[in-house]
Formats: sequence, structure tokens, C-alpha cells
Amino acid sequence: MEALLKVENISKEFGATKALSDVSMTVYPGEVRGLIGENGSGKSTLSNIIAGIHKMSDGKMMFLGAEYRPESVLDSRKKGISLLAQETGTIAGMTVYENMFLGEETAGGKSRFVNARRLKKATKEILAENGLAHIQPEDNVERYSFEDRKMIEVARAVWHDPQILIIDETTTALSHHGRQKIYEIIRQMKKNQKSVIFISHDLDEIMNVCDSVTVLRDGNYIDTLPHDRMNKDTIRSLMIGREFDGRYYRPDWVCTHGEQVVLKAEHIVYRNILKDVSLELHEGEILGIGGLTDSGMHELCKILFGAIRPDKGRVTYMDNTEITSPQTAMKKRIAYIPKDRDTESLFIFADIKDNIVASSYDQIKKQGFIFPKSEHELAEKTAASLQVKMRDVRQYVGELSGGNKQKVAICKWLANESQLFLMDCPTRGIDVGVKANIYLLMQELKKQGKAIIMVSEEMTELIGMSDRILILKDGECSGEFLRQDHPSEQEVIQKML
Amino acid sequence: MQAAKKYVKNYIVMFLVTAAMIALLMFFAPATRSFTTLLSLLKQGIAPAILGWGVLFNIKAGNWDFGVGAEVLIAAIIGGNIAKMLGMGIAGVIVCCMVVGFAAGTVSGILYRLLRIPTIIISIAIMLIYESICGIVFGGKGVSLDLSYLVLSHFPGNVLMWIAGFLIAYILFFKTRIGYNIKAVGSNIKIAEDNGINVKRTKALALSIAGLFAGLYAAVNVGSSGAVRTVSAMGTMGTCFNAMMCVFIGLSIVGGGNIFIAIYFGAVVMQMIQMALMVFGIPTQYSQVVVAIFVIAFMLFSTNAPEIRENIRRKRHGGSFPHLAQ
Ligand SMILES: Nc1ncnc2c1ncn2[C@@H]1O[C@H](COP(=O)(O)OP(=O)(O)OP(=O)(O)O)[C@@H](O)[C@H]1O
Ligand SMILES: [Mg+2]
Repeated sequence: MEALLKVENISKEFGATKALSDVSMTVYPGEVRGLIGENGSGKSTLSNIIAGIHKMSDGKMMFLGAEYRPESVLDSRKKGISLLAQETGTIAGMTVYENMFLGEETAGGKSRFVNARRLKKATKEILAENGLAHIQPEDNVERYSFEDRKMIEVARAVWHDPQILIIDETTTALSHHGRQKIYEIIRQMKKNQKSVIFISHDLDEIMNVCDSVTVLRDGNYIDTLPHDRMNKDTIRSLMIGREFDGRYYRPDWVCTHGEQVVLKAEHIVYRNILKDVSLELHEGEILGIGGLTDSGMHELCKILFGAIRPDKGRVTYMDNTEITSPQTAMKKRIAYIPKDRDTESLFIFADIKDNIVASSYDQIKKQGFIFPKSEHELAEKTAASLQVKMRDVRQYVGELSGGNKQKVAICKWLANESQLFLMDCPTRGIDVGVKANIYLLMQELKKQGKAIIMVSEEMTELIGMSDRILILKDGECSGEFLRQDHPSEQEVIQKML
Repeated sequence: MQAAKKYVKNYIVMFLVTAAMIALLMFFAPATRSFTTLLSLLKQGIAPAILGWGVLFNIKAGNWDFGVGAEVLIAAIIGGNIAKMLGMGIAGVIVCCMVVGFAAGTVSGILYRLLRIPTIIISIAIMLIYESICGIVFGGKGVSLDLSYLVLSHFPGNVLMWIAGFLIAYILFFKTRIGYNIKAVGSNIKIAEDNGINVKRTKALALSIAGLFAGLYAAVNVGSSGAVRTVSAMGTMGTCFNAMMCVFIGLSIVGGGNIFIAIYFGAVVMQMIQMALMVFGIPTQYSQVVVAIFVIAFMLFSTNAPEIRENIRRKRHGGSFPHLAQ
């Protein structure tokens, strides 16, 4: 069969970092190709090169039988390759329609002038086609949830009717509903003999969605497995270069936590998103919170941290302090790892060290002074504990791969010795190896008596790690599961829908 | 009907704020209670608004440009003198000033692209250079035109200039890709770049556009007063700050309306503040302070507006206000 896209011996250096060396890959029409590898293995770099964001240092690409050298994302989109990027791709402060036509405001029109009315109308149609009729073209995108914003990007990517759609790690950030929509798009593409390059750390998802999978490790091409040779163990060991020992979630099946209530939320009401939610978190407890994206669980997490104020109800720490702002929360050593790391928790234009020690100056000051050496040590120690893949701690966080950014977001709170962790989708975009590390870390924290709330959209993770799971549905608590009852995924999902 | 309602809703804030400010002035200073005063405020707002429109492009692009004041100066002196020498009349003055202003802005854009230094530094260097050039060319005497040129201070000259400036600004900002690119670059440089927008070029273009408006402002200036003298030692900073303040006030009262109209109202408010300082006999040393306080007050209100609304909403829901009680 004639190849659709041929990537030949591509290399890419970022200064001293070699992100890709000599990678080749061929994608055929109608094929859904998985791309998998550990954090920092070069998946995003490869897809960004194909989509025209980065230029390759060396190598050659052929697309539809001709040499292909995209100048920019716009160029590659025009030529027939669309990218759904790993990080947020819509600009806050601009409207939905401005984002939809970002960089191509005059495309499709007859005149060289921008016709805002035409763009709004087109945006409305595109949104409606993608089942997003609730989004208004004139609204600032900031008003919409993470998921809606991602879906706006999805709509933007598909209305160009691409020959190849690259999906970089989008699904793990989406709810069940959003994922289904993407799978539907993939099915359609396949049916029309178009191709998809699909990146995910979720092996089950890769197995279900992809026809074949290419494995990268440390910027090197390792192998491509056809569907009949794909199995999770093989993929895992190809990824990490050794046998995977299979240990992952908590081995025990009992609730083990102290009696002391460390955080209490009483009758929380917030707009029409949360309707009277109460919960108690105990020392040494891992409390899982599950639900659909719009169930209010992400907002609840923010309220527990004081980042949004509820309309009614209160959040109190064990010494009866009411948590009314992130400052009070942090004084009580409460950590919050938000879902949208780029905009809410990281300084992208600062280095890893500054990000990690940002809230730990109390830990390292000596007689009121901060010494660079202690900053450095703390940052290195913490980064090493989660194996952040970096040049050194001076590297800009913006240069890290997606999963490694997430690790830095977690490191920040480990460094300041937080006692209570509010984690919103903590393992989003993290590879299997490090995921296992984070789970071990959670168990370690639990052993030390620290309490954790984990909001997650991944069923297996909720069931695998939590002492107790609360399910939110339409802003109300719709179910509770205890670890010793060994709930099945089916039971849990039933409470969510 | 629907459209009219929307219109009212979008413009009510800037209109009411401006009206309230002027009413306040007239209340405390009876001498200003006249239609003439009102008219003169509206008139005096025109020139600073034009410069403010140019400055807006820079602010939206994330540029810090302290050079626009010096660009005004060089446009007025070189453009004005050339037009005068060639006997081109007032139309020639306008065209020459705009050409020189645009060129002056473009030079800073080119320097920015070549040297890859932040615009704030480039613009200060540019300011010093342009001020010195103005001290040298044409014998360092600035520019002075005879009475036949002075048609831009009153109707219809001033209104025509307002309309011309507004149209240019409106079209560039809302009707061409460059306006959209500027907004994207200023809001999130990385996403803009990843989406194929040429960031350096866009920022440089914003500098050029600001230069163009500096030229227009220069034309209005020489066409009103007939003379512009050279200034040195960063003396043009005042012009630049004044324009920025019009923009800041404009941004804080824009509501859902048109930003360029809001900036014009901002300029009127600025004129009103200055007039108030005059009638109350506040020494000029203090006037800057008063202006600064006003600008901060406006900014304070606009940046906190969402929170204030949120609090009102919560109050309706009967929520508690622990942080207000503290
Ligand atoms: N702009 C950049 N500047 C410097 N280094 C970079 C840049 N972008 C990526 N890198 C480096 O290139 C390597 C590969 O990163 P890439 O983002 O491709 O990883 P990935 O496979 O997508 O990982 P993840 O699963 O975490 O998303 C990493 O070591 C990263 O630090
Ligand atoms: Mg990636």
C-alpha cells in the first residue's frame, strides 16, 4: 500500500538536549498509529515536527508522495495535517471565535479584511457540528472549563478535514464523554481512509484504539508492533528497556487510616455546580473523588484549597481554622496540584529550581536568609525523588516534556513538606514507570500519616489507590465506596452516570 | 430594538463614568458650568485620544514603548518642515508627519527584530536618539508654521482628524489579521507562536502602527498650535505617559463597547482632571500626582470589577463574607 506519511531519519536537538535521534516511521492510509514512550522520550517533539511547530535538525519527510516541509502549524494544517497539542492551545483573554480562527482570520473569505460576523457564524456552525452548541462564539474562552477548551481545539483541528490527525495526549485530560467523542472522530477518519497518530500513556486505550504502535525510548526509535503483536507487557518493557515488575497500585484491600479528621467540608454550595456537598478527610487517608468533568469535583478541589469561595458552607482544618484562601491553606501545609498545570501551578518561564522552591523558602531559610546553595540542594533532591528528566535544575520548565512538567508541579509541594495533598488528576500525562512511582509516593505519604484527596477521571486509579471513594454527580454526592468492599469499575461508573 | 438594547448596554459604562466625572467637576467648580466648557473638553480629548489609539496597539502586543513621545516630536519637526519647505499646505503636513512617524516607529521595530532586546530598552534608546536628532535638524529650532496652517484645532478639521484616526485604528485592529495577531501575541506568546504567528514581526508591526499614530498626533499638534519646539532629556516622556493614561482609563471603562471610543472618553476624562487642577489652582508640581491617583483609582476599579460582581452575586445567595469582616 502507498504510504501516506513517511518520516525518514529525523533528528532534533534543543541546544544540548538531543530530543530525537534518527527516527523513522511510516503511516498508511486508514491506519491509527499509536506512539508511546516514557516521559521525555520524544513523542511530542516528533508530532510537533510533523505538525510544523518545530523544525527538524536533520532528516526528511514525505507526505502524499511529495517532500513535506511545513513552515508552521497553519501551513501543515493547510497541507492536511492537524495537531491536537498536549498543552492548552487556546488563548485566554480572547474570544472563542478568535481562537477558532487564530492565525487564519481571513481564510476562506474573499476579501483580505477580517469579517468578524462571518467568523462568528462559522464558529457557531463548527461548534454545533461537534456537539458544542452550548459554547458561544463571542465569549472569552476563559469562561469555559478545561474540557470545553480542549473540545474547541478538537473542533478547530477537524474542521480542516485533515488527512492525518495527531492527537498528543489529549484523551487523558478528558472525561468519559469527551473521550468517546474523540474515539468517534478516530473511527470516522479511519472509515474515510485517513490516518491518526495517537499518543497516550494509557496502555488499555492504546490497545483499544490503535492498529499498530511505535515505541520511542530516549529519542530513539525502538520498534513498531502490528496489532497482533501488541500486548501490554511487551509494550511496557520496550518502553522502559527492561522487564516491568508489574507492581502498580496498592497491594492491600483494607481501609487503613487514623481517626483524626484533618479536613472537613460542610454543606458546600457553589453556583449551580455544587449542591450541598460535605466530606471528611482523615489522617493517613487517601480519599478518591470521582465523577464526570461537570460533576463539580474539580471545583470542589479548588474550594477545599480556598481558591474559590463557596456561596454557602465552610471548609475547616483540624484545628478549626476556616480555609478561606490559598494563603490560609498553605499556612496549614495544604498542597494543591491543579489539573491545568500550565496556567495554574507552574511558572513556565522560570527554571525548575525556582518552581520547586517557590513555596518552600521557610524550609531552607537560615537566620532569615536564603542561600543559593540550599535552594539548589532542595530542588535537586526533590527533582531526583520523582526522576524529573532534565538537563539540570536550571532548565526552564517550559522546555520540559508534558509529563515532566507534571512531576515538577508535584515536586513543588513535596519540597515544602506539605501535610495534606489535594491532587486533581495527579497522574495526567505521566508514563507508566513514573505513575508507579507516584503511587508509591502516595503510599509513603499515607504511611507518614499525611492525608490525600485525589480527584481523578481514571477509574482504575481511583479503585486501586483510595481508602474510600466519593462519587459526585451533578453537584451532589451520589455514592460512597470503601476499599474493603472491593468495588468494581462497573459499580463505580453506575453511580456517576 | 434588540440591537439598540445591546448598544446601550455596551456603552453605558463609559458614558456614565465620563458624564459623572464631568458633572462632579461642574458641581464643585461653578465657573466651569457652561456648554463651552463641555465642548472644549470634548475637543481637547481628540489629540491625546489619537496618540492613545496608537499606544493601544503596543499595549495589546505586550510592547513597552516609551518612544512614541519622541516619535511625535520627530514627526512634527521633520514632517512639518518638509511640508512647509515644499509648500504642501495642511494636507502635506498631515501626510509628511504620518510618513515620518511611521518610519520612526518602524526603525524601532527593525532594531527590536535585529537586536533581540526587549522593547522597553529599545524604546528608551530610540527616545534619546530622536530627541537629539530633533535638536540638530533645521537648526534645532523645531517647526513653526504660519496661520494659514492652523485648521486642525477647530471644526471641521479636528473632527475630520478624529474620524480619520478612528477609521485607521478600527480597520487595523478589527478588520485585518494584524490586529488579531497582536492580540494573540500579547495574550499568550507561546501559544501564538505555536500556532504559526510570527511573534517578532507582529510586535515590530505594533511599533510601526504606534509610530503612524504618533505622526497623526504630531500633525494635529502642529496644525493646532503652529509650532513645536525641540525637547531634550527625556522631555517627551510626558506625552507618552499621557497617552498611556488615556488608554488605561479607556480599558477600565470599555465594558462591552468599542475600545477606541473608550480611549477617547478616557482622554476626555484626563482633560477634565487637568482642567479641574487648573480651576482649583493646584500647583503643577502636584498635578502629576493627582493624575496618577486617578489612574490608579480607575485601574483598581476595573481590575477588581469581576470580584466586586462576584461578591454581589454571593451576597444575593446569602453567603458569608469572612474576608470582609476581618
Ligand atoms: N523547547 C525545548 N527546549 C529544550 N528542550 C526541549 C524542548 N522541548 C522538548 N525538549 C526536551 O526534549 C525531550 C523530549 O521531549 P518531548 O516533549 O518530546 O517528550 P514526550 O515524549 O512528549 O514526553 P511526555 O510523555 O512527558 O509528554 C525532553 O528531554 C525535553 O526536555
Ligand atoms: Mg509530550
